[in-house]
Amino acid sequence: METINPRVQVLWIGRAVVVAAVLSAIAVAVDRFALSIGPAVIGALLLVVALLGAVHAVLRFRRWRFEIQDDALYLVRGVITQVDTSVPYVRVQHTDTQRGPVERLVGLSSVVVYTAGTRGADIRIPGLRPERATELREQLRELAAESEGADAV
Amino acid sequence: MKRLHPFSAVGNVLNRAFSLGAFGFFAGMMLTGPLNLLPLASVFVLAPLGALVGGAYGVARYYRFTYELADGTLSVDSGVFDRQERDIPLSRIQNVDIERGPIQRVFGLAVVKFETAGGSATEATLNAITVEEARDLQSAVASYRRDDRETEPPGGVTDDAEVDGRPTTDEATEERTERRRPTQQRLYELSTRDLLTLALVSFRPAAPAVILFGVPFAQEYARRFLSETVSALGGPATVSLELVPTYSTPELLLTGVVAVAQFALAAWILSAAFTITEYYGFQIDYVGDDLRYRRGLIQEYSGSIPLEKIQTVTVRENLLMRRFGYAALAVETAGYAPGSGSQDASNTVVPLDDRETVLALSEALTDAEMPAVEGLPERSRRRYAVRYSLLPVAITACLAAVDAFAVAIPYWYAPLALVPLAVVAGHLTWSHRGFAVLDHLFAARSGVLVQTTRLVPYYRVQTVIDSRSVFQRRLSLASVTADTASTASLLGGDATAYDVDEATARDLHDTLRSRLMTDLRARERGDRSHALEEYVRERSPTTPGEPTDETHHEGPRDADGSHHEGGQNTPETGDDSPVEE
Repeated sequence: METINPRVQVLWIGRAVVVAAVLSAIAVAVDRFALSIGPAVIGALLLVVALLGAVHAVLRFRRWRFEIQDDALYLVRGVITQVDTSVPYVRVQHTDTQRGPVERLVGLSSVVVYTAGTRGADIRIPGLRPERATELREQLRELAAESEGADAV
Repeated sequence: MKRLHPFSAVGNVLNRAFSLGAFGFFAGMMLTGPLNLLPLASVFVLAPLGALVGGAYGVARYYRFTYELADGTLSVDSGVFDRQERDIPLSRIQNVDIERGPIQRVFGLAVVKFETAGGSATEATLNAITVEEARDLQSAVASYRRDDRETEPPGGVTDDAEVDGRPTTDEATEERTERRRPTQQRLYELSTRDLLTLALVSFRPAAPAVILFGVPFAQEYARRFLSETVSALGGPATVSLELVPTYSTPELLLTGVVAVAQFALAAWILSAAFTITEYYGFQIDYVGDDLRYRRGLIQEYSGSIPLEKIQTVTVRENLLMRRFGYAALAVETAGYAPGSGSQDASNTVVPLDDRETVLALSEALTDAEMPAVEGLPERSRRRYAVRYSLLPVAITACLAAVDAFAVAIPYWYAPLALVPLAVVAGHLTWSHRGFAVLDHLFAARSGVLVQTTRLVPYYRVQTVIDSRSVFQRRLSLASVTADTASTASLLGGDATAYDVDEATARDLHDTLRSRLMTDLRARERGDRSHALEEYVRERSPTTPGEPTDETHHEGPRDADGSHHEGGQNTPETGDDSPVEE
């Protein structure tokens, strides 16, 4: 099983900090205009949310694994709810590599695999180095094309 | 390239002329009145101008809208300013739906909608063309698909099979197509008795909503009706909102109960009326490789569901239906966009019938007997009981806290009385859930109020998702979902085996994956089931004049008489052994 790049933790922790900051800003606004909460509580809120987010990010990274198996892409992920997904190559419609602005900042990229399903319609593998992402996308594309060939027997 | 029927243009032009004319009128009123920018007379210029522009746009739209069905492609060119040229390969078309409102029925017109997988709206709508043209398009799509699959030259069918096998219904319209037409077999027909039963046992959320919105408009009638009933039952002589404070408690209670009862009754009657207009004359035919449905009292709906495109088959029984031994059957394709209104009804194969009929048809459609589902482990029941008990316990805890620290609440522990109820609910949820792994399909059942059994052929599985929440992990349970491209699963209708043992879940995950591959390969080799044809054959003794098997179907597939269960339909492949692991 392949793991994802540890740098993705920076990304996820950063996201958690942003969420904590937004929540704190809301709390400050409430404190200012509605009922008083007190700076101590707001500070604690910021800290707790950021900390929880950071712990979640680390656990999430540790849990994230994927594998190119014989006939399917297999993914293991999720902290609170653990999810294992199999995406058979025959079902792959198309694949993308995506690099958002923040992802580019930490030098990472994601691969998105699309199927026609309704629940698992797009499956994202985050935290890949750009070269690996491109390689993986091409590998998946080939596997998808091949699997179709095998079926036509 | 063909154009729509001119009548539709007339309607469309009038419609647009009216709406833009009205816009011109109101714009003129605004500009002359409050804004005082133009003299009053300009209203009389703006309104006709709007109508003229609207009408011209309608005409332009009519002339710009052309469609053509040729070379296996449906091409639709449309748009006046935003021009669009759309090509839809016929083999990609999922459903073809034909709708006819009362006015269209008078003029012999029909609206045809073509659905493909994906996309957020109907891919092509022809509004409107003649019924004959609509039926021709429908059968052209069906026969193209058949030709495409069997790679046989069109017209490679003997004529006598065509004439003999066809039942007598609808001959007038049937004769219009000179292309070969497959035999048409009545698969299911909703009897009047079943229609009425369906109306009584099904509930439509639209009905109470309509009444809630409608009552303010018919306030006086509603109030008088309520008054009469209440006073006849010994309550206050007149009922009105202003008098409410003067009522005694029993009077108030009586009025309340009567009002609720009347509301429920009205909703029920209206719901029944909706159901009857929707499902009146419901019938399903088996034509070639399509299911053709037709239904509707005022608005007539018909359409085709290609058997090839069916993703899942669902048996649904609500509480009342189950009590009286009824069930309903639906099939899902990937055609409809999520949340499109008539989706439920369009996919119905049997709106309501006795369980045996429904199961027989489901068996024919899936080539598998309705499975005895495997129940869940004992600890899942505990999980549900605990989960449902949490709510009353939480409420009690809150009340207790308030009682202790703020205001005294008498009987704060009363919600605990709900705990036994929660346990019963937990047990019911547990006993209604289950799954089964069959030869060619996966079955998942759930739901207490509406028990739903979803049958997913392995070769339709898109992804397999295995999930374990924190609470499930504590009990080493997991849920396994077989995701398909069917749109019904967007409405919470996944085929999921809930809360099964972790090891079972892992096995199930692997089974779904490997069966997907083996069944896909088997299908590529042409091992297709013909259970539906057999089902039809078994039923055909009702028409004794009909010829035997061979003429019921046409094409080389039957030339060697090889349409048995599990048999292949492409004679050129020699290997007919069903593939098992």
